[in-house]
Amino acid sequence: MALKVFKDICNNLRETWPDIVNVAIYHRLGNVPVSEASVVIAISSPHRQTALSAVEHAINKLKEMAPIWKKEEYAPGTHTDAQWKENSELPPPKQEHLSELDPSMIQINSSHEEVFSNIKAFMAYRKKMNNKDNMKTYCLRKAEERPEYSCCRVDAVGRRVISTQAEIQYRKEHYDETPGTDCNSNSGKTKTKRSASSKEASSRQLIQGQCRQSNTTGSDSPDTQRYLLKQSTTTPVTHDDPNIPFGISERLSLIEHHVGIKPSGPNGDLYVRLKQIEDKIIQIEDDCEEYLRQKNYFRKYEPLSNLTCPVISSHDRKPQHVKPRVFSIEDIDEKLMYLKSQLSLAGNDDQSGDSDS
Amino acid sequence: MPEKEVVLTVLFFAKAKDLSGTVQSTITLKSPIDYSSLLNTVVNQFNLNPLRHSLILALNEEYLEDSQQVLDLNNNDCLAIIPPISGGTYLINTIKVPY
Repeated sequence: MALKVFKDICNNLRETWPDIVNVAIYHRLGNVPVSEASVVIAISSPHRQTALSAVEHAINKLKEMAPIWKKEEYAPGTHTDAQWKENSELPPPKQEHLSELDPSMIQINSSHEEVFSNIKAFMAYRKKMNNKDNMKTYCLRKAEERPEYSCCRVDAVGRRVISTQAEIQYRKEHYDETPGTDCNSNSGKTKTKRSASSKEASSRQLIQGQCRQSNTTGSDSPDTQRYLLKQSTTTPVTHDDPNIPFGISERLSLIEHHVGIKPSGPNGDLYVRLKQIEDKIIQIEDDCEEYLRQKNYFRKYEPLSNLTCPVISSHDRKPQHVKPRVFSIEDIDEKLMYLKSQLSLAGNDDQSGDSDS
Repeated sequence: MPEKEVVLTVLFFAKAKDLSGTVQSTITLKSPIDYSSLLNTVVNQFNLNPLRHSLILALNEEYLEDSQQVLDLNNNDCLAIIPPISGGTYLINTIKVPY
């Protein structure tokens, strides 16, 4: 069969390079000592270019096709068994019928043992890396100081997290119903049922209060103002609702834009829009544990006892300087309850016979 | 094509020879047969599983290139088990003849 392959190679050569004169392929069999050649290919042609490229092609083809094997035998005492060698030119192995398989399935050609040993090795590697990581994170020791039987479970040192760079890892639990969302949605709904006049009045009051508050929290630095100005040119801000002052509508739109809520439109119910923002805050809090930790840290040192809207009389325009505060959902709930009670009072004043209040 | 039983001569080379422990053997098969069934039968019968995904079959001194083909076998056909080949050496000395 090898000779047949040689013959094929010869024919192939003569087809490719018609000016070849003679071809000789000689392959040695039996023992071939180290450093001796085992194959000779000689090709003659009128010009050297033909012969050189033909020889190269011939040897590559021979290595790929000719069924000749080589077994390397090593000197006694090297502890290596004789091995059959493989070419890199080895033809691609026959594939199974891939087209008939479900494309969502994976076909594994390796043997059962191989797959399992791979999985085992991978698991061991991950475990090792995890251990190493945990040791680095929780055990405040240098590698060389660690006793042999130390591990992060018995050797961990807790770190207090003050900055946003959290070092301690947490487990995050997902609940379908976040406590607080129900309450919020209820209050939102009840508010939308109120009469239009009182609703708008109170909403304006609320937002004005918030505006002042945000003014006093130092957000009106020149940079922020410039940013807001720039933003307002890019975001569509309209103020069709005559009952909402332009500034409030704009700010609300900007907030919605900033936190990534698709605005329900400038004419949308203010309470619906506020509800959306609240929902977004809840979502952000749930997603970002670092934020929660930071919030709890601030809470510890600056209890938010007075959460009522700062009522500032119209002539008192001078902004107060207050430290920035972070509000939790409970705080917002509290505030909403407060506003609700205010609203019902206002509703009583406006419509004394309202059975709803 | 009528189904018939055929007896093939099987030749083993290199690693396949080591695994099967013999140079030559015979196998009884049903013809016609497709490539993968033939490969499976040979691998299982002669303990060639380590070579399962790298060996090539040659029938009557011709490589079987197409793994989809259905083979029509005859009695005394010669089936060669071709493990990865390694003819020649890795170091090629090209002797340049002066012109």
